[in-house]
Amino acid sequence: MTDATVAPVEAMRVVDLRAGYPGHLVLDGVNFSLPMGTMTGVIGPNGAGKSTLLKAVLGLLEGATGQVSLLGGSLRECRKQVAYVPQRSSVDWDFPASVFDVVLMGRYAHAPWWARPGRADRAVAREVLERVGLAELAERRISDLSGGQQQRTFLARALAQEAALYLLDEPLAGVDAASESVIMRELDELREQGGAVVVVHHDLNTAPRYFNHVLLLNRRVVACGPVSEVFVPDLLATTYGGNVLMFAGGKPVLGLRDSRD
Amino acid sequence: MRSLLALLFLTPLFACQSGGGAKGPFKVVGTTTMVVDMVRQVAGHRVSVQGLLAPGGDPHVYRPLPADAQAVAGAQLIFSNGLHLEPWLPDLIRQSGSQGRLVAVAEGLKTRVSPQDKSVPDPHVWFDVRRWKQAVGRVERALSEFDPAGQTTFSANARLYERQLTVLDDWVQAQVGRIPKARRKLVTSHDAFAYFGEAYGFEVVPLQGISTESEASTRDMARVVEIVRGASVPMVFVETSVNSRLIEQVARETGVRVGGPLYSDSLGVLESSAGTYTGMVRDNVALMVEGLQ
Amino acid sequence: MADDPAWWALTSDVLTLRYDFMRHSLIGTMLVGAACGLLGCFIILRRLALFGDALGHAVLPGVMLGYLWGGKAFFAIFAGAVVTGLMAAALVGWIPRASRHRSDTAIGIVFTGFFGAGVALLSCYQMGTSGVTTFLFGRALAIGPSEVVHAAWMLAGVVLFLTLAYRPMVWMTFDPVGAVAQGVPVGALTGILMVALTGTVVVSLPIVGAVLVVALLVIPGATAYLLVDRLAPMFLIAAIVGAVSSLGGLLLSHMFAWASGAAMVLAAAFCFVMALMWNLSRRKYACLG
Repeated sequence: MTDATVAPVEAMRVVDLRAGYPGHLVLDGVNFSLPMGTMTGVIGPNGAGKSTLLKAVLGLLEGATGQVSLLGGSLRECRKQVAYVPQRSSVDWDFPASVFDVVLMGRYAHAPWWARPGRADRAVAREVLERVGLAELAERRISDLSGGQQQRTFLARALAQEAALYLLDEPLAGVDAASESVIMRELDELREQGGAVVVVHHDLNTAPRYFNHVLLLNRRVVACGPVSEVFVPDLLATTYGGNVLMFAGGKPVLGLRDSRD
Repeated sequence: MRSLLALLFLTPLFACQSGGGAKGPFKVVGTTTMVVDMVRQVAGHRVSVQGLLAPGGDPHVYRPLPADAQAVAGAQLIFSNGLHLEPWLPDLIRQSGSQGRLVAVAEGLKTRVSPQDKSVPDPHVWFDVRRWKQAVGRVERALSEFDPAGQTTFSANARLYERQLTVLDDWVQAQVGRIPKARRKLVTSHDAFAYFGEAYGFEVVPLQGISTESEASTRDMARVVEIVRGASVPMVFVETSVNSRLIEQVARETGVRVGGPLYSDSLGVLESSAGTYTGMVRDNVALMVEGLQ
Repeated sequence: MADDPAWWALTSDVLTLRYDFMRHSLIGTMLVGAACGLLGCFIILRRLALFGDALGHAVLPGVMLGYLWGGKAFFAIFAGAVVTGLMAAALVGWIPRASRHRSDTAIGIVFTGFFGAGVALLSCYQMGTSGVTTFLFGRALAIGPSEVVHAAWMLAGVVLFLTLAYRPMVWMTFDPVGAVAQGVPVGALTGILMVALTGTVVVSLPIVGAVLVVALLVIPGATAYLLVDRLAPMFLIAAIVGAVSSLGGLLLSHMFAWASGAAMVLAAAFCFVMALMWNLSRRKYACLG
């Protein structure tokens, strides 16, 4: 689904966002903006508010203040164009559904709530399943899938939505290598086509390889920008409170001495 | 001293006081409204009687209130029907610590046994007016022992009341005669009218047994429906103190009209025509005659 | 009592629906069984089984108050039940927010408290044995034409709700966080689900009784869950299991004079055990390859 009007310049702009849970403020004044055509990794230590940021931006947290604009408008205006993939654990994988059923759910955003999915929707779902390599498992019950297969199903659901902005919360957690490469390949394809992808990511080692844009977060934005500018030792040290080791060699490798601050 | 002990014992029971409870200990207490009525007729103005059950209450499954325990505790004379009509009474008397004398007015009368359980008597003797009349003497004797000074009054009242009951019995016989023999069938919720049937020539077809403690089963429903259909019974009757749902089902099933409510285990409210025993019997018979003629 | 029908005659009477009252009780029970089975699927999937138990018990004081106020009028009883049912639901939601207690503790406190109030009202009112038994354990013979009509309406309402709200309900059950993000009116739908649940419980009361109604909500859906892999067939199987076990239980109740609620729950539990055994044997063979 292409946008007939002028493509929005900014995928996301956040001004002075404060958000958290009752009795516990997590994000304390967050400011950043992300252009379209980027794949942004949200990086930070535990408790930095990475998942909270995605939830706040989607309006899922009560009592959040600040301004958020997505694709140039408010969330309500552009819901269909924003796809959210929550953490795998927040979903009930014992639900009686097949892989195909879950992927088809991604089409729900495009039709009124009382309508049944049509032939075109089913075609999109099948095509997306091919792309993530789950075509043979389409009829398999989701509780019988491995972690990687579940994550690919989840991604396929988001892809079926044909959105412009994708927000993913830890999509590579507990995922096998083959699934990981399929997922990152598909996300990169979205970026190539002009969409924007924001990923909460936990593995510093793979970050520079996967993302062209990075948001360093520790309750506030430490830095946000292209990976070559932002993914540097000083800024990482600030983000992680001085607990980062870096080894210079043929390839830059990062280690985390102590992730708790 | 005795009353003081009883009161101390009863303090935890004072938690819930509902309307209609006794106010202060009474010397003479009666259980069912029929029994209380008889005692009042004999006692006249000399002795005041406190009743436990309210009109419309079902003595088979009555749950005594704390106010009842209070009343019984202070009583010196407790009149009951007897014959297991009030299965809760022995426990109530024991727990209240009452030292009063218990007089079961129906005991000593000739009774029938329950068809379901031969060891249990049928307590509904008051529906045979002639038989109920025999209990008057017992009440008179108990009252005379309690209040010897009133013996003459009690005796006069008792004789007068016995005559009234004889007149009533004759009246019932005459009224019942207006119903053709083939139509003298009483279909009711529970087996309260057997003595009535025996005395005045009715076939009685109850859904439940002697006591409302147990419930009618599907078998009972089927049996009664068959009888009603087979015998072309003109009317089935609901009772004042028993849930009418099943009788209404029978009526719906067979297309027969519902009559009543008949007073079975209780009199009506004091102000109504059925507030006394004689009034109740007249009202019942009028309903039966009207419905079955 | 002369001429008590022999048990085989009674069985054939019941199976051939010889009497109107048997027909009413059978139809009413099957309608209620189907409605409970359908709604029960969402109760199970949304992990509300304990809450469903609580609700079944929490409506009792409302039912009693409605009965005292409006007699046998269904609307009075339903209104009373909805009021106390929603009060209980609100309390269960509020207590974990207002205190350190978790929701299962809140449920335990609220439902026993409300149920106790209901039983207290029952005993004050001197309903006699049959009244108490009917409300607590169900009574096959208490089902008349009006109960059948109410059950039919309730089933129609449940089917309508499930058909219209199918997609949003599925979404918010499978992916609660994502559903809210996409603007699914989760609060409103949950509210409607609660009202539908309360209505079904009230209609089921004379048939199954307050104590056991949760079983009729949970067991058919739980059975269906073991037998199918997808949601749409799960609803169908749950409705069938609900209707069939209600029917079976009612037959037992008619023949042996058991309380109808207990008989129905036993029949439903039997279906569940069969499904469980089938499920286990299927897994064993799958492992053996």
